[in-house]
Amino acid sequence: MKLKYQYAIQPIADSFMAMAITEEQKAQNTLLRVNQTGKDMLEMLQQDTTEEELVKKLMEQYEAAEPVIRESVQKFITELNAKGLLD
Amino acid sequence: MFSGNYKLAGHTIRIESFYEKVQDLCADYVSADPVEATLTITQEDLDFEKSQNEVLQQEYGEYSDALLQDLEPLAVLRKMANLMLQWNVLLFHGSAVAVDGRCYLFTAKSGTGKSTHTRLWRKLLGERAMMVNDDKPLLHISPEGVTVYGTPWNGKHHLSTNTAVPLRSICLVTRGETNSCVEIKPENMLEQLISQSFISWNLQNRLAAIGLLNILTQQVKFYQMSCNMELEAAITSYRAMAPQSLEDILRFEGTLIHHVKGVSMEPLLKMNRDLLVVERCNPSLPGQPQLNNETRPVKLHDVVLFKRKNGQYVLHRVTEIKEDHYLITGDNCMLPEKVFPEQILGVMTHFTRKGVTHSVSEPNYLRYVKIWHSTYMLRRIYNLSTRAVRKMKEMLKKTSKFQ
Repeated sequence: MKLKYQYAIQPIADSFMAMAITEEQKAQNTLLRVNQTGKDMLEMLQQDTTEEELVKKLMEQYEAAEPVIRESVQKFITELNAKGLLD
Repeated sequence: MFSGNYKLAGHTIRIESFYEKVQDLCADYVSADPVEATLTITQEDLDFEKSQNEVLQQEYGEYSDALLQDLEPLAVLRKMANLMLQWNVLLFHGSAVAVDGRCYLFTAKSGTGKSTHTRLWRKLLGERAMMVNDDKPLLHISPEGVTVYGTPWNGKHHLSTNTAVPLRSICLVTRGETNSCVEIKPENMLEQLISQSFISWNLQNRLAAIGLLNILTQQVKFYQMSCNMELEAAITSYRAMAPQSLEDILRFEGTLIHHVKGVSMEPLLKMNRDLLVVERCNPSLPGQPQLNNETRPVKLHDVVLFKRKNGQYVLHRVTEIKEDHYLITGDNCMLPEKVFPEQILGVMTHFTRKGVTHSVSEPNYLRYVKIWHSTYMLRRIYNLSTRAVRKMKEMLKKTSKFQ
């Protein structure tokens, strides 16, 4: 599982804006707003990875129960899929 | 090709265009300063604008000169917006109005009523309000603050001023039946900030623009308002967003309560101890045009709040009423001051002295006023004589030193 496009991520206020680097993104016209966890996941998804690996790495960074982290990961992947941004 | 040098947001750029229309558009911004960058319109630029403006193309015809003349300013705007990013300047869609040296920027989708709202501000505040730009101002954004600049792209009513004003706040406008205006966190309007900023497809420019918006969110206040098209909407947003002057407080609240400053009204009012209450009044003199609809006139011996030409607010007593002005003196002062009716903001109706509140219609107060006023000449003579004695003593002292 991997993002279709490469993103540059810039902080703004309490969030981050992810902007596509490739020309194809122009046609998609998406600018993603994410929080800190979303930023971490986007950075991991720039490379080929799995849901398990995402959960494992987030558990290393955040003090939260595994089910909570897994739910966040699954929700995020679902949203990216709905926007057609994942391969 | 036509060309000219123009100063926009503090930077002089040379614009080279196919048609003269864009040069005419920028006429108010002509500059003789050294050129920092050149912006040249190409056929590719015009073709891009044509592709973005199908409606105009249908109206004018694809290869019409008239179409290209109308599109070229858009092409210049697009290129200029990208060029400006190198100087930390962002093109923003909004109607910017300046009041008392501070700029307030109203933003919303086209047709919501931003321009109507800033027109209401101008109606409300008269000469105090100045349009900086009614459509696409430039914002210079830095950690030291944000400055709004007028541009030639100033909307269908061509409202703008070639000026620079510090930005105080940004307000997101929505239409509503009733009026409300509340401060919000910038994170609650990030999407709107981005959509109303000029952010091109070029990645580096996008990153730069988002970086500037990030700084912007730390520099100014943000508001959200729901409003109709009535004057009340402007009053609502102005009271929420702008610091209120004493005139504003009196105008909108009707009453001003303030601590006593200075010693000029002693022995009646003492600095840092006493409070005063001022209410709106009608300072118009008989036979003169009415300045407002208030019913309470200014009477002899009233204590009034007025504003000097230097901007200082003063609270002193009316000692004489002339044909076209008042003579006003502090109780602890000797020389009367000429004050015109339009300078008077309100009249004192109550005061709190040593913790006790008194009305100016109380018998004891009226007695004080009578005694104080009737002894004016005696006090004047006393002051002049004590000053003369003091001067004589100083002269004698100097003389004895030399002996």
